[in-house]
Amino acid sequence: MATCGGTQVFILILCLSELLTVGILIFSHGFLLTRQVVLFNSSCEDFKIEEDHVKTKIKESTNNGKGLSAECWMTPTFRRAVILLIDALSEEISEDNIVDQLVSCGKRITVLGDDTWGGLFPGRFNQSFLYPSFNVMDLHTVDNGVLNHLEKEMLQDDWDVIIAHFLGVDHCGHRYGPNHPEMAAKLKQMNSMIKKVVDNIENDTVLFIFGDHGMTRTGDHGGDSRDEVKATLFLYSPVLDIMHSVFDGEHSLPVAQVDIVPSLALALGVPIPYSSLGRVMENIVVTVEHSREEADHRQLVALAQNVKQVRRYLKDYKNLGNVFPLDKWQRLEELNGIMLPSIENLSPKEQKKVYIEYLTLAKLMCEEIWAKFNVSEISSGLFLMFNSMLLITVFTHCSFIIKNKIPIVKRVLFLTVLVNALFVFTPYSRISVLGYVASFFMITWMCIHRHIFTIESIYLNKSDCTSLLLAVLMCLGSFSNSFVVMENYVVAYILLSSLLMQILIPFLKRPRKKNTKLSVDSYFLLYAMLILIVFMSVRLSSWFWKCREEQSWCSPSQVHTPMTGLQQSLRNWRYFTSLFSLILLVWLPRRWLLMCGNLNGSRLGVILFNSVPVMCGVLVAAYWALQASPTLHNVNISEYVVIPPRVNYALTLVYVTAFYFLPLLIYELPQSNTRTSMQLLLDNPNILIPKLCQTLMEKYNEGNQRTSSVPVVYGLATAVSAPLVSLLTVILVVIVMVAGDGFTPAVVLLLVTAVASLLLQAISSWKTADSLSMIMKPSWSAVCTWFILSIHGFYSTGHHPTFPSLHWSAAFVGFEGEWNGSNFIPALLVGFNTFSSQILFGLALPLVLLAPLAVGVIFPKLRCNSRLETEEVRHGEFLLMDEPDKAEDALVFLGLSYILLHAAKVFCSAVSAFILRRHLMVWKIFAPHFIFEAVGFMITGCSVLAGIWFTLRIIKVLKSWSEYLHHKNS
Amino acid sequence: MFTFLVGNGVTRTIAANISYLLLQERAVPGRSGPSDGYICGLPKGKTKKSSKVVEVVVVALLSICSIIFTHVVTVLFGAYVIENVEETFTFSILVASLAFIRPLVTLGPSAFIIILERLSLEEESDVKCCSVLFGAWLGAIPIPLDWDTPWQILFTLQVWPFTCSIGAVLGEMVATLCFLAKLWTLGDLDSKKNKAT
Repeated sequence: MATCGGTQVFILILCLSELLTVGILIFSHGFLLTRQVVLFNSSCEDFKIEEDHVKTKIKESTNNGKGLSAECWMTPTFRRAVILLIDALSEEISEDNIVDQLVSCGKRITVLGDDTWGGLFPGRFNQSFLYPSFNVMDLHTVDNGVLNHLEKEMLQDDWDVIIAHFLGVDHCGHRYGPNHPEMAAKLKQMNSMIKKVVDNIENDTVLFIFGDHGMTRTGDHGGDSRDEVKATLFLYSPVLDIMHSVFDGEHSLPVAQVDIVPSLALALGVPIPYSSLGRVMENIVVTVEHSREEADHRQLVALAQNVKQVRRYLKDYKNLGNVFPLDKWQRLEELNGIMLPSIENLSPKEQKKVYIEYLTLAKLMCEEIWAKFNVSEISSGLFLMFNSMLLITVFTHCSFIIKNKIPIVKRVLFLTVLVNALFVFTPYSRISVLGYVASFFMITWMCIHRHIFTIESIYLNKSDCTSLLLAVLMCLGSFSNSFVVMENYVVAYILLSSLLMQILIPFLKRPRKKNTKLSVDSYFLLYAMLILIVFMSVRLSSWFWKCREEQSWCSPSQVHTPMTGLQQSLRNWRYFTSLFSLILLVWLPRRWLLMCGNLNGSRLGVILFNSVPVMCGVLVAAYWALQASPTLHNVNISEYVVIPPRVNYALTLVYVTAFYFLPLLIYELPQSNTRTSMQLLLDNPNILIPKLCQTLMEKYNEGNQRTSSVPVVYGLATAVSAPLVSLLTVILVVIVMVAGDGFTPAVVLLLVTAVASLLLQAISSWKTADSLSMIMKPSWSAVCTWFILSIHGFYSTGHHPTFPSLHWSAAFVGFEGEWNGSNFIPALLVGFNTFSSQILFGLALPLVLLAPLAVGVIFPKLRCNSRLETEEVRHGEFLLMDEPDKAEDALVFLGLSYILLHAAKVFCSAVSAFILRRHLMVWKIFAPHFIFEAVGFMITGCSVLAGIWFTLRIIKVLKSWSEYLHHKNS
Repeated sequence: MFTFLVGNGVTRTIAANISYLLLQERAVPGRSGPSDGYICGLPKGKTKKSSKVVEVVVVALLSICSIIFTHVVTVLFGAYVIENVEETFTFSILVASLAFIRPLVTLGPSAFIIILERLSLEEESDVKCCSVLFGAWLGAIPIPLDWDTPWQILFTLQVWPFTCSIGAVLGEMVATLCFLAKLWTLGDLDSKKNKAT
């Protein structure tokens, strides 16, 4: 019976959040850009150059010897090239690319550096010296290896292209940040290397040096901030005359990264890869040896070839069924019309102008269409989201679950299946149409069932109203770019306001009697202290905020630099603060469970909780110590760095599974000898409350059946929340480990805030409640606070909804970068780190329901509500077992309202991203904000479901246990 | 009256506030003592004159405490601790004087307890206390905005604490206007009654 109800609760929440997710997915399908991959290759024969010019150049190329048949598309300016790539690597290579073109033209490539090159282009290289690379801790292996071989190789004659890839600067940036002595040493090393290489460059060789990205102030990259996108490009050859041409203002600076490929290709006389959109740097095809006219001519030829190639790509891309914006395409055709018949009639300068305009416009156009919005899909997704939210609102406001259970849940399930099944038709119909059909189904469903939804008069008291208003205010903030940029400040402000209002309103609303003075007793002091704690911890957590690029006034705090990047003097300080916070993190939940009497006896759960969190904590401390040990790059400790996190992951898995199957943390005193219990009480004063529980159980059972043997059970009043708390403890430790040492105090502050706000809620709900059933029904204000807290947690653990502020270092916790090309584990770890707050608060959501019940038993003084002083109150969380219907209703309300609030936030950010899609800042502010909100919503949904499923499981096990007890005793 | 908003000299603010409060004190001379029915927290059995002195001292101390309290709360709500400390302090003097010190002056040392106890919409000091605090709270909303609007350039200073101060003053003004309107209608009614009789 209980299982059936439990499954229904789960299915209901699952279905409704799934419907919302469908809406979000349709929206993002229309909103986020896509680009189709065209799998054609360029070949030498595509655009043959006119004969007479080849002739003049042949001399030159034969002079250079070697007799390479490399006059593809353009006579080569240089015979050989040295490419020094400083920093990280590129990834997907399914299209035509420069390496393949070089190989197919018979160029012999030597590659030095990172072993991913071998993985990306297997069998392409003539010679390779590759080194294992992805261990960020290791600054020197790759670079030293490359340096050892580079000079030797350059002096030999068996290569045409050398690619040397230096990783050290990148790794150094990740590990130490840009302003660290280690970085200076690395840059010096690079400088001396470049000097040597430049000295060895001959006249027929061109040298390319570039970084493929920059780095942020903390040394990370991957986003789109100015610091990350700008990088160095250095071109050198003894015969190259770049300065002269730059003064002509020919190739505008900065050079786009896509321009490197056509320049390199034409300089070496190989075809430009098929789908390249870059524009050749004209200067690279001209050397000092060329006369003025010759130079002009060569530049024109290069540009003409480039235009032909881009035009072919655009035409083919269009033929594949893609649409270009009409005005730009027309202008391109116009330019093409000028070029085709009569290009010879124009002066070289005008020709050049036409070519350049064509190439620039083509790139602009492509950038635009790959950022194009599908408005009909967007609006259909939004409509679907709105309908699902409406459905959820209806569900949170009527308590019909008790009355007609089975049909309604089954019908919701049917609706969900129907909506999902619709998307089988994706190949035959437009997605937007399917979205509208789905919304239509939902509306009809609601209309059919309107008689079931006997909406009780929506009763919201004052504190609920203010909390909801504040939450809505926060959601509306996503319509303004400045509010999104400052969201961390806004959320903290709103959180404090909502907590304050929630405390003040019941306080002011209490029954007033004339001529009574305000009692300043210990209870009042506790209240004030809790408020102070919440305020302090929220304010202090601002220390852990990360700086967004747009927050120009903000200076990054030192918690974001890894411990190895700190000065020696600060390092110990950091380590021991983190250690202290870690100890607090493990100790606080333990203290609480001891107080509740949940840690007696020898159940598996008790044994596990006594050992595993402590072990995990020790492992995390060991991990930090290993990570920060200064001799890391000389000795082989680095091999052991991965061990503690891996053991930790394994332990956590075992722990969670064990708790899933044996969740109970209660202790049944062996009957018959009451003496032992007295002895236990004398030994351990902490179990005074369990003793209370014992009398509680006695009385409870007396009412039911008059038996002489009364079972004595410890920790029954918190039987439901205790397993949840113990589960969360270990998850907290894992979160801290993945977040890194700097953020441990932030997590502790978050924990303190959450606990204090739960206590405050518990107190105020005991103060205002008129009946027990009101305590068993969580209020909107409690859910709102929890929702705002989860958003606050996202910011206070050092995150921002922007890609530059992702903590990439999280991917290396327990791994050295040996993922074998799969992105699953790094994505999982970075995601876990980014959304740790959402996961935590989603899993802990049932505590909002359980806290008042538990607090009422553990701190009986706090109840101070004479209307509720019944025997039942002392049952604590066992009340849920007594009234399973109410418990299920409460869980449904809790899950749905929490998900609804998060959905409202996603909805607001989606609408704002849609409305402001032409805003200057859409890709910097609104779109990332939406993406983070959407992913956060999905993760919230999953963790809420997991938390509720676990709670239902505990209730079920507890139920069967109590039935067994009854059975035994009767 | 509120010209001190533009400068941020603490002393000027204090002077302006004190003069304002003195005006208040003069305006409602009958209310300077503790209200009827409530405990004033003073030891009885002292001579009248000395108790008056003690009361003034207590009120002054409580005023200073309330200013510090406001400052701390402002900082907890997100104001910078060290940067802009002068502005924050000026702002807290303004808010404290409008919300807390006035009731202290008019109701006596036990003003806070009285207000917390009754908090009715009828009493002027209660309503003004709430409206000033609410106005200051609302004033924080425009802070993140970075429009280049005249009212932000007008001051050629950072937004903090102008919007909040203006919010507080507006709250005060709205409450005052409401009470004025109420008084007016009451007067109307009275005169009508008088005519009828």
